[in-house]
Amino acid sequence: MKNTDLCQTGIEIIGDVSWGTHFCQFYQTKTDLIGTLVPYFRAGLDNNEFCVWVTSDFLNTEEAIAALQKGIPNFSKYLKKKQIEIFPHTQWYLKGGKFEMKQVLRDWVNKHDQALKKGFAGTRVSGNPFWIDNKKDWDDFAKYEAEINKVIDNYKLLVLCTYSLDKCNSSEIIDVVSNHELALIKQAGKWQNIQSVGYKKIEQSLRQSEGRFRSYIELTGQLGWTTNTKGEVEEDIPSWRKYTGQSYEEVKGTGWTEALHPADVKHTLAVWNKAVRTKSAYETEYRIRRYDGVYFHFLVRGIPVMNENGDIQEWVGTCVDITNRKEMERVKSEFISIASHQLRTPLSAISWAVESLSEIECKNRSANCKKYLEQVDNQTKKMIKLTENMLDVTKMELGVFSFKYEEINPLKVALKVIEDYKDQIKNKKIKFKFIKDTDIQPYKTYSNAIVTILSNLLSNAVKFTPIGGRIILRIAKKNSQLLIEVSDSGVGIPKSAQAKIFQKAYRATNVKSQFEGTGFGLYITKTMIDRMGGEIIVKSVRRKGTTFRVILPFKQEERKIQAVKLTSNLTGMTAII
Amino acid sequence: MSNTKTDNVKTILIIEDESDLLDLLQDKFITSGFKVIGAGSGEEGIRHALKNKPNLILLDIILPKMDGITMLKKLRQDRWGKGVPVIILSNLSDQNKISEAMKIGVYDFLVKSNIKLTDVVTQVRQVLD
Repeated sequence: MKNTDLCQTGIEIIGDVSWGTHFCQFYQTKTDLIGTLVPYFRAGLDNNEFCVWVTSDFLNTEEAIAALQKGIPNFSKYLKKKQIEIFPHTQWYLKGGKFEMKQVLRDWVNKHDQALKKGFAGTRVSGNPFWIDNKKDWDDFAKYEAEINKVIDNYKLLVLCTYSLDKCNSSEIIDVVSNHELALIKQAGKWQNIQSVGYKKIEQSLRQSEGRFRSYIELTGQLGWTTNTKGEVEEDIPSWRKYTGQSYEEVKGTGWTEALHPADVKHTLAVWNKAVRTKSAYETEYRIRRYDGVYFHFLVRGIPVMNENGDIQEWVGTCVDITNRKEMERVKSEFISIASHQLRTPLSAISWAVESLSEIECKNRSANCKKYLEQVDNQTKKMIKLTENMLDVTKMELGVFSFKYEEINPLKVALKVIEDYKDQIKNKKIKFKFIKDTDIQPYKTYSNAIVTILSNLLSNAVKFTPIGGRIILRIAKKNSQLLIEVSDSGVGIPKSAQAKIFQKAYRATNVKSQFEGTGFGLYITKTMIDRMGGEIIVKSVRRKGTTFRVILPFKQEERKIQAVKLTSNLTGMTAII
Repeated sequence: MSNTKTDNVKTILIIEDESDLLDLLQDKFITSGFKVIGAGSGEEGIRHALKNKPNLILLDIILPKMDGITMLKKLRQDRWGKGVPVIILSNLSDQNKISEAMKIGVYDFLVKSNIKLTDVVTQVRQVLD
């Protein structure tokens, strides 16, 4: 984006231009050059700009200084102040003996940075490629001019390149004109400004797309950013900078991370670098420090942008303020925490009081005493179970259920869960078999989910299997997925109910009255399985038995790349969105 | 004079702000042969702990004036407090709080509504033996 500050060129036919303008002049005589460059530099010196004039064999350093002294009052004071530097091309373009584009560009940036440090308003320069005498240097110089165009918008630089009209053939003139925003040519004794028509059209189109793009960003209140293929900020990111208050210099490269909360930087860079390296979609959360120093939670997403050849050209991304969402989550979690605690407390008190009563008081009382106390105890246990289930369901619905991600061996977990039902299985004389695939290794997954799934399926199997029945638990590896299968010889599930058993509070007709249950167990189990990207299937025959089959992937699915393909309406340029 | 009889009686400090629950726990532990000190807040709890130096502390997390985690942190800063066994007895199932407590160092985390009084005593006996 262009700086909106204007500076006076000192050249009548052009007037004022914004910083970051790169223009050229075709001269024929020394008078042409002097007549343009002296007013040009005069305007710069008058406006407290730092000036650099790289001279050539056509108009050398002594001649340049003489012309400036003649045309600018008190010129020596500027020289003394070192506000202007004049030196030959050999000390600039051909420092090492040959033209090194990257070095010259770096040198210009250095001059610019130093000028700003010294307190100048900007830097105004002029150079003359009169020294070029072969095609290779000409082509290199043209590339160099094009590079200037890519970055000049970010700097307080004004660049005027002077070309000898006599030295340029027609195709070379076209090269030069297409690389500059304005071109000055003398026609019929008068200076004309030939603005590069193609350049202007392209610029207009770009500005329109840019304008639209920025409007979208502003409408959504998001921060937009873009980086080069290496993941470094190169082009200006104004919406980000507006929010954080950082300058372009502070933000480029990886400087943008300075605005992140220090505790979030390491993880963010790890995730970002991985995304850039693997060319996959980028998403994470972090806190950004606003211009006033306050940190806010953001969700950031980035995708690679491909050009026509399928290569990544750049990355674009947005940051969305999720502070409200985070606050809501915190409020919900806290509410559920308090609610669960408040509900459990009186239930614990009743439970323990009944326990104490049974032991002490019923020894010498009637049989009814024990019976009624047992009923109180059973009902209390039911309430506790119901409370637990409802709290889990509420957490899931509100999106604040915490899945614990850690490494576990499903076989070990299964053994622990089986322990919980050992007594019930023994009391009901159930034949229990555990078939396990011994080569299942520990792996990272949601441990509390696995526990809940196993516990729920086993609990149901034990509950609905009659005395002397049979239960088989099988855990195996199947097609790089984890298989958990629980079969029983229980009452079975009617066909009409099989689709509904995973619903909240559903209890099939054949069990509703005889067996206790909250109706939430399978809903919770299925929700967890869905979240993990797995599936659960039920097969059942009434009065024969039921088999629940759960398949869980060992790895979480990688997010698919959503790259944006560019369409080019204008040759060599790209339009966005 | 030897105090072998009193030496074998273990002292438990129970920090619980629900008076009914505290009563039930105290009665149970006394009939099970323990000496019991009760406290109704984190502040009271740490005072009694450092003064009486019990053999084990049963601690709830949600407490007035100073919550269980804060009390636990303070306790662990004391030379004696660093080593006393602590069992969390709570109705809170917040994953974060559980991990926090485990990090500071507790023997176990028991959920009141899921455990019988008898089993609480069994757990305490296991830790003290």
